[in-house]
Amino acid sequence: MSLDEAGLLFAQTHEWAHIEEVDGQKIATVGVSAFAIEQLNDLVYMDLPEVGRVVASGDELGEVESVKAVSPLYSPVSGEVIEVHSDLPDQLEDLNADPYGFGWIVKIRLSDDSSVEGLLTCDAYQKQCSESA
Amino acid sequence: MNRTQGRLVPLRSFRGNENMSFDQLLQEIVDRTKVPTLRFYGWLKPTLSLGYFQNLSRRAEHPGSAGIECVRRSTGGGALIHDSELTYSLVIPQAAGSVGPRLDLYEKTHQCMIDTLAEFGVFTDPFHSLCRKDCADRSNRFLCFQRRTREDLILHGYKIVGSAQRKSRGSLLQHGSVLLNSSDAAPDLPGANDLLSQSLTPSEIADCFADKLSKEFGLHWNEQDFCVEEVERSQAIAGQRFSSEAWLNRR
Repeated sequence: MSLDEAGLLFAQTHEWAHIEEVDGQKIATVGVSAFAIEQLNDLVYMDLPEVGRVVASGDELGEVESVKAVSPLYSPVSGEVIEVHSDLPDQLEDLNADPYGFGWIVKIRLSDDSSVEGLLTCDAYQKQCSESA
Repeated sequence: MNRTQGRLVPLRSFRGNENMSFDQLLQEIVDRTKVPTLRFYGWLKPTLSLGYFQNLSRRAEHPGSAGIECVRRSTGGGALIHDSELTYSLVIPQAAGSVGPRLDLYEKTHQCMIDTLAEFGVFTDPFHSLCRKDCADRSNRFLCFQRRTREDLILHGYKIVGSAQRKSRGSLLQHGSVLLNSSDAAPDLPGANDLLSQSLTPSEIADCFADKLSKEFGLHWNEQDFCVEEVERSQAIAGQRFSSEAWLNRR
């Protein structure tokens, strides 16, 4: 099921995060924004991290290739990767259609709530996108 | 007109792992300094460069290049056989929020190359001007010069110029090849000299191309070769990445 874009948080680098509390722990579901997917233009490859990897906010989380360009994906939050959407790299054509549902990339158990504080609301992110377009 | 100052690293030839390390070094420098940088280079030995996401096992698809050196690039696309060619790399600063490939950079640089080659009587066309509707090539053929993308430059039906990109936090690297003569490792891929019975040299194309880029992007090139510290840093990059078996075998 697709998440409501308006309720998501966004990094300046175009990754989204949906934070929920599960068994007393904060879990971020992370993906790439619809705007970025459109700009990335015909993705052909995606590399994802392994489960267990510990990342800080802003660290490289993976890489994608489109139109012979390799671009990094960055983690919007700090924590440990606890789940990876391993089917995604083989179904990149479906990412366009559902960036906030099928397009989730990883789930990260937050180690540091403060990493969320720097993220943008949907409105602020949309403003950033319109200014850069 | 006031022009932005840029750095021009003059044409020199190196081994494949060194060439890729110098390109990464330049991207690190531009991330920091924000000074647009252009470099030209050649290859001391015929070298196959794999696209970043290509599997090494795919070399078996091209037996003709089985015996030559191999390096994995940090940029996308298919494998290239570098031999008698001019290679360029252009690194430009990028805003933090930029995303995706810079299609406009492919377009502008390749237009500069079209204009450059035309000055030597070599009239190329971008592939998109030759195809009817959908230019997308999803053939995934092993060699880059057997594939076609919109901005590739075509001469007599053969691709002779192709480029690829790599983004970092604060810059974008685009490097590309101008095929001058076919390689013994890929005799079925002719270069401009083979197709037109010419004898173009890398240095004359490099000089003209630098001038065209200068005008297109409003840049003044200051020639500056690598200093000792930069060579040492590129050697460290080679050790960690482009000379490493783990990097080559990562896919």
